Amino acid sequence: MPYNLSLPSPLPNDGWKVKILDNELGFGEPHLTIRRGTKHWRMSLSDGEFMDKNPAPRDVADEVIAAIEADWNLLVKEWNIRHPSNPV
Amino acid sequence: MNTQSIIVVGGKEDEGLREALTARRVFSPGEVREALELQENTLWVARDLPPLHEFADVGRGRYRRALLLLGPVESPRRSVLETIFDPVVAPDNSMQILPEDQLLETLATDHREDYMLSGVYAAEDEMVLLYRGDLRPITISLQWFQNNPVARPDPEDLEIVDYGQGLRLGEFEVGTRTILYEFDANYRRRQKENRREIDDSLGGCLRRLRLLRGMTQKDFQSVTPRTIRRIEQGETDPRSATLEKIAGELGVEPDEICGY
Repeated sequence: MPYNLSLPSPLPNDGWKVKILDNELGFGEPHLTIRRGTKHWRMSLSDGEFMDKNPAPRDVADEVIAAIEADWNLLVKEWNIRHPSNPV
Repeated sequence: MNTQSIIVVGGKEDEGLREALTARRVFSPGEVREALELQENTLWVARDLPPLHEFADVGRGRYRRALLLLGPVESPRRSVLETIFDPVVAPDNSMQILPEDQLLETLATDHREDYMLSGVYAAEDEMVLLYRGDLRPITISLQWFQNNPVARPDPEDLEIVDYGQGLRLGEFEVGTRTILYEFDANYRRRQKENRREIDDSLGGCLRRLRLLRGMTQKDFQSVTPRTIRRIEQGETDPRSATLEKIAGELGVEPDEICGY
């Protein structure tokens, strides 16, 4: 079961989702996934950096980043539960 | 980028479909035949198709024609369609397709092949069959999904989620990105090219150190969240006094920040 970060209103209605997915084979670096519509961003759980050039990190709402940072330790914990052989 | 053009089959009532996909719309037998003779790969989208008896001679041809039907199709007709189109994807009791609003948005992206539109589980073969946005198939052994300590995939409860960006099997979810990275070398190459370099700027180092300390931008007592955000985004070079305050709260010397 993926971990879905609970986001404050109105972010969910605006289509924002933040997830720790169950299966990340092929990807060494622990990360969370931000999704909105057809776009997604990966953020490293090691250093909080966006891992990809596109889509542009600046397109992620500041409120989403704030929500992620507020629950950073929880997100790290949820990654480690799902990926015990590749912890943060 | 997409290497196939989209053709919408339908009357004026399907003009919205054509507009959403910036596609060519065909309706009359003459228009359909003309489109069937195009010398390029095409993705056909239709709620239904007119009778095909006028096209009995067409066959599959040299160029790939994929057909996405938005409604179910009965078995005899499917067989006829498969003499012209490859593949024919249509919803039925087992084949799951994205909701139409998400489907249209996904088809309209520059890289529709990077999304999943449809999927089905073949229990006898223990295989998951997925169709990408260009209707190219990917077959995956169920075994591939079963390497997770938290959730066991339930392939009988299959759903394409989040605009084709994820595949849910019961309570288990895997990203389309992970699937394509594993099974498509071209996708893997593109994604590697898309990786960012590690940000060694002061802002990047500060963000890493702050997260290492478990702090949010709001947790600093002596500096405003806006200042922290601006430094981290490279919008400002902090004065030395500001940097000293930040470093102090992080428990390091100012010149140590860039070591993180």
